[in-house]
Amino acid sequence: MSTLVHALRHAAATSRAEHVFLRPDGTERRVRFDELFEEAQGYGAGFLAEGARPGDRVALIVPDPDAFVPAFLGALVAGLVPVPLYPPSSVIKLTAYGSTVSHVLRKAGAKLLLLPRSQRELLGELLTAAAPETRIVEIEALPREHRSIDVSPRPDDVALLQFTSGSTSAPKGVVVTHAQLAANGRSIMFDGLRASGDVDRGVSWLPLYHDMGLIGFVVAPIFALVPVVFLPTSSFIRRPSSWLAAIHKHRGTITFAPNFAYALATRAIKDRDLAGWDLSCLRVAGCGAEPISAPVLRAFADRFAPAGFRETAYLPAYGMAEATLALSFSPLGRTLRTDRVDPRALELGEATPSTDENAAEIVGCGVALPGTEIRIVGEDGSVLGDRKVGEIVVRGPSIATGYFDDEEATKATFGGGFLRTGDLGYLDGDELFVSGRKKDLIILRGRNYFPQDIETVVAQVDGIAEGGCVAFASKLPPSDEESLVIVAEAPLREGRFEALEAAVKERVYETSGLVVGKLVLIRRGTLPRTSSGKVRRAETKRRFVEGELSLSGEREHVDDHRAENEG
Amino acid sequence: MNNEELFALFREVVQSIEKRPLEDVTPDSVIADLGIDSLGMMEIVGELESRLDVMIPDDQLVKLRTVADLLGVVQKRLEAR
Repeated sequence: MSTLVHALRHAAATSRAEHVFLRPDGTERRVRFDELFEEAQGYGAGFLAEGARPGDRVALIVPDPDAFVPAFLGALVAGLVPVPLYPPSSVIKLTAYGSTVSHVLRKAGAKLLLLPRSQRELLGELLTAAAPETRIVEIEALPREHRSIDVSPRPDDVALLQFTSGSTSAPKGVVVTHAQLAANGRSIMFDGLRASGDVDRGVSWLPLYHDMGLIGFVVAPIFALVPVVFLPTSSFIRRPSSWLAAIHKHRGTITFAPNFAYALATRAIKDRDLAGWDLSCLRVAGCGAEPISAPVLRAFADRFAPAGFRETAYLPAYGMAEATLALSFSPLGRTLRTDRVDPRALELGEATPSTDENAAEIVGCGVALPGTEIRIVGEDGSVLGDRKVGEIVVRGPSIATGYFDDEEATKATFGGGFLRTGDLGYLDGDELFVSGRKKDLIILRGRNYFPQDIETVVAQVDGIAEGGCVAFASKLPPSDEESLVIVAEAPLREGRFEALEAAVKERVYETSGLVVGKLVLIRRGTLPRTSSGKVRRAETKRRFVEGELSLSGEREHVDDHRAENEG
Repeated sequence: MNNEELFALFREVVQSIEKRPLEDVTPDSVIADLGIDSLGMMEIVGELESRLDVMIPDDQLVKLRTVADLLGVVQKRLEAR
């Protein structure tokens, strides 16, 4: 059976299509499939020259798609296992980043770490400390003589490791084999998108160290010989118009982005930018990786309809790294399908249709890709019927093998024949609706954060006890956007709140880059817990939303106190 | 463009992106204290780049602590043009 490496060889031999790499400085680099294959072989040969042996893991901190794509493919071509890592950001403290890198390198047992010189200089000693067993190789110094590598991976060989969770706590490496990679890559292109190299062109600014960008735009298109225009992620964030401008200029037909990006584009792109655009070429505007908001998608469609954007291009999808990437796709060319349901009933496990103005509007994520089975199960594992809310569990040819070197987590998530996604949802016939995120996972701006990581850091602040706080995401006024909320057991001391709040905000910010939207102090001992003492995050959030938390120091008492003291 | 003008531009850009007034911001303000997350930071940098017609590589944005640090990087790019 044919793996990605075979598909790349085939593309190199038969296709004249060109990938386009848009660089941060605005220049473009066009690379045909045969050139890409040659570059990949150069990287592969370089990795082998640096001591990597078949099956060895090669970590990559390569922010520019221009270098990332050939380096990633190069590892595969040489029979190695690439492990993409995210680069340091402008806000997270480097020490926290160094800690994550250290975890990943150690967990993956990485033989090599490839990165550009500029990144190495930036990280300095942090890197040496983080990678005692890993050989650090600068891209600029990698020996890349042209050499024909003739490796043919077998279907059950590990293809890559996708590390989930971007924070300091034990990140887990999803093990994806060549068979799983090819199954998902092909399914995405042929079943989901009906893509063809003759007519399609992908456009993506997605981070390539994350599944939607990596599998969706680096891997999958090769199976269908579809060329892609790659923009660096930070280029999009700085200038959101660059995304749509690229679609217009290169006549892009397929793009994907998380919900927040559609919102960002709607608010940041100016009339003068969209003036000359014709976006009618875009037949697929995919959306995934985080909860999808119908109002956000409608606002984007309204804003860009004058530029030719078609609402029928929307393609909400559902998936995760543990399934390689894609699990369900909306049918092509369908207008946005949403379901209006009673929010109370939803919480209690029933998706009851409602026409009330308070109805929750959930966007349909389509149907399972052929060969993939999606079920909704209750707490006891029993299969639930239509419109009953439960955990989404899946099985199929693209489900990953498990987590690298983590038997316990693998058993918990993958054991029992079905992948437990941890997401809540329901089925209406074949259509999947995702109604709740992974039980406690915080998803902000398309990225996942484990509440435990944030809570550990908050508990380091003087005045807040270990295990005495809870983190979750919630819509906050006035923007109604999801924000980070921290509820902590701590007394409300006279004039000390601001200092405590500042300390909490700083700690969270420098370790995760997240801004705390609201800090709520509650009386000691009032955080809801299970009988074994574990905090109940969902219940805490519910009380926050309903105004049922036992707040520290009622306002009146504080004011009285102040009046007394000022006397 | 001198430092005062650049700072004034920075304030204006931040206020237009964050849609809220920025109280008590000075060049010595620590960026982390401004309540702007990484996304917001990139948007602000993008807008400054656009208005000033400069380009600031990502790796120069990593070790910034104060507003003055950021504006210093911008100023260097302006001078290099």
